[in-house]
Amino acid sequence: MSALLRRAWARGAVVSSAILQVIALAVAGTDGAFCLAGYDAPPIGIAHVGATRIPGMGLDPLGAVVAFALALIGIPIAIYTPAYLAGRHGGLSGPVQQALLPLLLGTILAVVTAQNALVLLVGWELMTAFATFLVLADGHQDEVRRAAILYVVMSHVGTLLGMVAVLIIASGSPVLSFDSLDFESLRILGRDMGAGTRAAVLVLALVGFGTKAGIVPLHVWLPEAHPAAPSHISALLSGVIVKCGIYVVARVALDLARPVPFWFGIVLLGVGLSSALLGVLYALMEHDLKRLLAFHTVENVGIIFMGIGLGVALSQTRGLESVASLALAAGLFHIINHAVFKALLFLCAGSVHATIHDRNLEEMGGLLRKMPWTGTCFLVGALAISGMPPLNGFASEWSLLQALIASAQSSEGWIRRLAPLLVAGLALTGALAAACFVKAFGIPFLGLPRSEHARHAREVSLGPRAAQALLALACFVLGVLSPLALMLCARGGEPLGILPYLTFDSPFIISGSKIATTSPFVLAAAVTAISLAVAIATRGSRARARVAEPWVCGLERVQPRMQYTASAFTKAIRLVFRNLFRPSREVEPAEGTPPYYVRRWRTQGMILPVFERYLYDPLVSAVRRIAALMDGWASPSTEVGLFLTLVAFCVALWWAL
Amino acid sequence: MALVLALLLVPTVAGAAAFFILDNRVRRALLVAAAAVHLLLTGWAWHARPEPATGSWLGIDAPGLIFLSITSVLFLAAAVYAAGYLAREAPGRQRDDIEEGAFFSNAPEATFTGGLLLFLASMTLIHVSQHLGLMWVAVEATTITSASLIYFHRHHRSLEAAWKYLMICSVGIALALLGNFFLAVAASGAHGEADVPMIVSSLVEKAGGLHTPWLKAAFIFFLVGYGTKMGLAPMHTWLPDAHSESPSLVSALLSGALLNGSFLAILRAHQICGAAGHAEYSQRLLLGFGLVSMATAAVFVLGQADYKRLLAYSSVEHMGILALGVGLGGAGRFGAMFHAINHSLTKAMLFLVAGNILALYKTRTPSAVKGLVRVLPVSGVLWVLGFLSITGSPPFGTFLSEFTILKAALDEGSWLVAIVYLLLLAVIFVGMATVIFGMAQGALPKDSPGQRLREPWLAIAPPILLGALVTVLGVHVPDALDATLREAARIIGGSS
Amino acid sequence: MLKVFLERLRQGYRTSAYPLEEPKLPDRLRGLPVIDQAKCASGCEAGIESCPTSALGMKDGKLELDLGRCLFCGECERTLPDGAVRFTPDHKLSARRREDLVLRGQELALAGALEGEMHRVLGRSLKLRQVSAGGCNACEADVNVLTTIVFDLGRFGIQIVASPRHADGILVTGPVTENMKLALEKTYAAVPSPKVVIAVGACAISGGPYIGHPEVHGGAPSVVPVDLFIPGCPPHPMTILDGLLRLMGKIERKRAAEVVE
Repeated sequence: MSALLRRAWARGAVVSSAILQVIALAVAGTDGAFCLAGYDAPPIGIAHVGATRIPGMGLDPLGAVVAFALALIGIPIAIYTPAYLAGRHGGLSGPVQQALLPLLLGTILAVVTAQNALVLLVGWELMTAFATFLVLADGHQDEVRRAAILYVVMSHVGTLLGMVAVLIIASGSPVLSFDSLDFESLRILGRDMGAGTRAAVLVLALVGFGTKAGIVPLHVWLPEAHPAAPSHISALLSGVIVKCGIYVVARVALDLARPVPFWFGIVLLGVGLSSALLGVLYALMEHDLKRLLAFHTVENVGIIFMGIGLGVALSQTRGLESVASLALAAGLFHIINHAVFKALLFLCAGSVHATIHDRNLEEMGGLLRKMPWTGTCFLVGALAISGMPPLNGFASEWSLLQALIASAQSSEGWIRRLAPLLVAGLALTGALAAACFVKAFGIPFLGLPRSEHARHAREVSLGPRAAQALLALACFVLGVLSPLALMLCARGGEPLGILPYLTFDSPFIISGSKIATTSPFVLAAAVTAISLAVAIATRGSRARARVAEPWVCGLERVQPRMQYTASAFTKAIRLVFRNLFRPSREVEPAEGTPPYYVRRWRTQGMILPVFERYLYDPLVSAVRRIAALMDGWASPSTEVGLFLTLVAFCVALWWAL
Repeated sequence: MALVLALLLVPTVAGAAAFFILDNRVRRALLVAAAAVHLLLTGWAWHARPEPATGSWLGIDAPGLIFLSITSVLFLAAAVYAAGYLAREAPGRQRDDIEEGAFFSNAPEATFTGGLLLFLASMTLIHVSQHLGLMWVAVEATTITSASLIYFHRHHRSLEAAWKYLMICSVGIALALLGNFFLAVAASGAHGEADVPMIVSSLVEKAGGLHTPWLKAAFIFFLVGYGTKMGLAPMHTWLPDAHSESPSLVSALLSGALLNGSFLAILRAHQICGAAGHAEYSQRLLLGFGLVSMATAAVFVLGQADYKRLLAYSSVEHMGILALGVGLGGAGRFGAMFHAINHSLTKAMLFLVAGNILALYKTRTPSAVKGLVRVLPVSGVLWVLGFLSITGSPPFGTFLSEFTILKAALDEGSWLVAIVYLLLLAVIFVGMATVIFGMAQGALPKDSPGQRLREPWLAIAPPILLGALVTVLGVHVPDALDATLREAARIIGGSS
Repeated sequence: MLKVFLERLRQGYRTSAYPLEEPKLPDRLRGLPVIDQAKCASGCEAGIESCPTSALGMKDGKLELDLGRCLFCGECERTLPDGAVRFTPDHKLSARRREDLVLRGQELALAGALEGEMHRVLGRSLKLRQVSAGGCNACEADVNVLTTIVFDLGRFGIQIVASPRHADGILVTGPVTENMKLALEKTYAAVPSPKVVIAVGACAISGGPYIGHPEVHGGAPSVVPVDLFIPGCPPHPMTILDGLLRLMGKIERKRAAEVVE
C-alpha cells in the first residue's frame, strides 16, 4: 500500500511541478513578447511585479528573444515530461528532476534578464550547475558521467575566460561593488577602451561564452552531453541554454564593449560559417540519433552567428542599414526557430528511445506505421530544419540568404569578396542538412523494422503526443507569420545599436532599402500552392498503379537487411569529403568464431574525430603525463621535505639580494 | 582585556580538566560547552570591539577578530562532530586497520579531547597576540597540541605523519624564531634611540626607523618559516600526510584554522613591511609563493588517488590564493581576507563529510566509493556542493572572493598573473571534478550497502551549518562583516 | 581503349545483314528436321527408341517429331531408315504455340508478330530480362552473343536489362529447377504488363534432357504462360534472333517449305 501511495505522491509532485512550470513560462513568454512588440510590460513579468523590479535585472528586446524562445519550448517540454519520467527507471527520481528543472529555468531567465554583470555571471554559473545535475540524471552510467564532467569542465573554463573579459571592461574603475558592475556603468567604461584592450575583450568573450554556445572547435562537449541527458533536458540544452551562450556573447562583446570594430563582424561570420559546415558534415556521419541532432545544433548556432556577424559588419557601412537589420533579424529569428524545431526533434527522439531503448539508427525502421503521431511530428521537424517552406526554418534561412546576397552591394571590399563564399556556404549547409534529414527520417521511420524492439514499438501516451503536436504547430505558425516575427526580432538589435530599418508593407511583406521586398511567406505560399496543384493533378494517375511486392531478386520475401543502412546512405558524401573525414574500416572475425571457418565478421567503420584527436587529446595526455611524472614526488620523506624548505629559503634569499 | 583573558582561559582550563574527567560523556559535553562559550565570547568581542591598548601584549584588532571568528565557528562544528565521532570510535579497544589489515588502537579519549581544547587555546593566543614573540610561542604551542591530535589512530602511518609534521614545522618555526631575532635587530635603536618593542602597533608606528636590510631578511625568514606551517609550497610536504592520516575533524581544524593562524603571523610581518614602505618587496615574495603553491597543488590534484589528500592539496592551493591576494594588493587584500573565511568554512565542511564517507566505505580510494548520493544522500549532496564551493562557483562565497582577487589582478595590470591564476584554477577544477562526480554517482559496487542509510545528526548537522554559512556569505555579506574585512585589509596594508 | 578502336578499324564492318540477307550458316548446322512419312512404312521403332528425350513417336501410323523436346543430336537421322528424318540447315525454328512445334511432315507454322496493343507497345522496343532457370548455360551463352557486333541485337531495339521492373518480358532458359521456380514466378510477377515470355532451348520448352526428373518442373510453360518458343539445344544465335524478330513483326511469316526447296 505504501508503495502505491509513494508512487502516487511522486506522480502528483511531478505533475504539479509541470503545471507550475507552464504557468511561470506563460508569464515569461508574455513578458518577452510584449517587450519585443514594444508594448508596455505586463503587470507580472520575469523580473518585476507591478512597479517593483528585482535590482540588477530587467528585460530588453535582445533578452526577450531568448526568453520568448524559452517559453515557446518550455511549455511543451513541461507537458512532455511527466509521462517521459514515468517511463524511466534508475538514476535520479522523477520528483528530484522536476524539482531541479524549475531552478534551471529560473537561472536561464536570470541570465537573459540580467542588467548587472555580477547577476549575469552568477546566473550563468548556476545555470551550468543545474544543467549538469540534470544531465547527470542517469549518472550511474559511466558514459553519462564522462559527458557531464566534460560539459561542466568546458563550461567552467569558458566562464573563467568570459569573467576575464567582463573584468577587463570593469578594470577601468577600481571600485568593486554591485553597482559598479551594472551594465550601464560597464558600457561607459567600455566606450573608452583602447583598441588592443577591446580586441582582447571581444576575443575572450567569444571564446569564453562561445564554449557554451558550441562554436567549432569548442563544441566537443555537445555531442557527448546531448545523448547522455534525458531527452527533455537535451531539448532544453540545445534549444535555450546554447542560445544563452550566443546571447551572452552578443551582450558582452556587442553591447558592453561597443563600439564594435568591423573585423569582429568578419570573425563572427567566419566562425559561423565554419561551425555551420563542420556541424552538418559531422552530423551526416552520425548514426546515433541524438548525436546527429547535437551536431545539427552546432550547425544552426553557426547560422545564427552568421546572421549576427553580418548584421554587425554591415552596420558599420553606410547605406546598408536595412540589410544589416534583416541579417540580424534573421539570426535572432533563427534562435527562436531552431529552439522550436530542435526541441520538437529531441522530444520525438525521446519518444522513440523510450519505446526502442536504443538511439542507433541502424536498429530502427518502419516506425511511422507503429508511431504515426511521433513520426509525423518528426517529419515536420525534419522539414523545418532542412529549410522547407512554409515552415519556420525556411523563413529565417531564406532571409539570411537574402541579406547575404544583398550585402554584395557593400562598399566594403571584404564583404564584397566574402559574400559569394558565404552564400555558397549557407546554401551548401542547407542542402547537406536536407540530405542528413532524409537519412534521419527515412531510416528510422520508413521501411521495415530492423530489430526486435522496432518491431514491437508503441506510440507514446497523450502528454508527449500533445507536446510534439504543439511544437509542430508552432513550426508551421512561425513559418506563416514569419514577416511579423522578423519585424519583432529586428527590434532585438536595438540594445546592440543595430536599429531596425525594415518596414511592413503588409502583414506578409517586409522591405527595406537596398534589398528586394522580401516575404518568405509569399514564397512559401506560392511553393505550397504549386505543390498542392501538382499533387491534385497527378492524382488520377494513381488509379492505374498496381500494388505489388517489392522486387528483391526473386528471393522469397523482402528482408529488413535489404534496406539501406544509415552508413550506406551517406557513403557518397563520405567519399566526397574523405579528406576531412579520413574514413577507415576494420574487418575482423567476430569473437567466438573459429579462425579457419569464419562464420561471422565484425566490421567497424570510423571517421577521424579531428578536434578530439588533434586538439583535446594532446592536451589531456600532456596533462596526464605531467601528473604521472610527479607521482614519485607525492609523498616525500621528511628529509626531502626539509631540503625543500631549505631550497625555498635559499631561492627567496637569492631573489631578495 | 578581561574578554581576551576569558577567551584564553576557558579552553585552557577546560583542556586541563579534560585530562582528569573520567566519564566520556561528561568530557564530550565539556568539549561542546567550552566551544560554545568560546563562540559566545567571540560574538561578544564583535559587539564590544576591544581595541588593543598601546604597549599591551594582548589585544584583538580587525584581522585578529576575523581569524578568531573563523577558528571559533570551526571549533564548535568540530566539537559537535567530535561528540558523535568519539562515541563511534570506542577507545581502548583493538580496531581493524583499513589499509593493512593489522590491528591498532586509538589514543585515550581524554588525551584527544584535552588536546583539542588546548589547541583551541593556543590558536586563540595566536589571534590575540600583539607581541611577535608571544605569537611565536603560540604558533609553537599549536604545533605541539595538533601533533598529538594527528596521532589519534595509533598506527605507523599516522606516527610517521605526526613525526614529519613535527620535524618540518619545527624547522619552520626555528626559521621564524630567527626572523624574530632579525626583526629585533632591525628594531634596535641606533645612535642612542630606544629599542622598538616587538609589539605590532609599535613596530608599525616606528616603521620608518627600522633598518631595511635586517627588516627584509626578517621578512624572508618569517615567510619561509611560518609559510611552512601555513602550507605554502614547496614547504608544504607535511600537509598531505597529516591530513590524510588524522581523523577528519582534526583535518578540518588543521586546514580551516591552523593554516590561517600561520597566515596571520605572516600578515603581521607584511603589515610591518608595508608600514616601512617596502610593501612591494613583501608583495612580490608573497605573489611568488602564492603562484608556486597553486601550481604545485594543480599538479598533484590531477590523478589523485586518495580523496583526503585531494582536499589537502586543495588547501595548499587556497593558501596560495590567499598569498596571491595579499601579494596583489588593493582589492586583493580584501578578497584574501574574505577568502580566508569562505575557504575555512568550505574546507571544514568537506573534511567532515569526508569523515562520514570514510566511516561507511572504509576506504580512502575514490574509485572504490560510488553511488554516494544514493547511499548517504545528505553527505553525497554536501560533497558535490562542497566541491562547487571550493572551486569557486556561485552561489557560494568563494566565487565572490576569487572574483575579487581576479579583479585585483586585472586592475593592477598583472595580465600574466591573472592568466596563470585562471589556468591553475581550471586545472584544479578538472582534477577535482573527475574525482568528486565519480564518487557521487556511479553504479554501486557489489559489496556496498545498497539502500539509503540514516545518517546520525551529530555527523551531518555541523557540515550543513558550515555549508549554509558559506552560501549566505555568497549571497549577502553583512555590513558589520564587510566593514571589519575592509578594516582588516587596510591594517594589513600597513596603515595603523 | 585505343587498341579496341584500332582493332575495329582493322576488322572493318562485321555485322551480319540479316534479315535483309540470308545468313551464312555452316553446312553441318542441324536446323529444321524434315520428316518423310513414306520412309517409315516398315517400322521405325528402333529410331523412336533411340531418341534420348522421346521426341519421336508414332500417332495414327504417322511419325511425329516434337521440336520442343528435340535436342538436335541426330541419333534419329542415323538410326531411322535413311531419309525418314533429315535435318536441314534451315535456321528458322520458332513458333508461337506449343502444339505448332509438333512436326508430322507439314511445314512448321513459324511465329507471327504480336497482335494489336502488344504490337503497338512492344513492336519497336523490347527489353528482356533473362532468367536462367537451372540450365547448363549454353542457351544463355548463345543469347549473350546476340549482343555482340556480328548480330548486334541493339539495332533492332531489343535489349537485355537487369531489373524486371525495366523489362517488357522475360527470356527463360533452363528446365526450371525446384530452386528457381519461385524466382521465375516472382520475376514474372515483377514485370509490368503488357509482358511477353520467351522460352529458349529444349529445357525451357519441355524440360529437355531432364524431363521427368523430380527436381525439375518441365520447362517454363509449367510456371508461366509462354508467348514464343525457340527450340534448339542450344539454338543457333540466328535461330534466336529470327524468333525475336518475328515476334516483333520485323520479319513476315514465310513458308518454311520455300527455303527447303
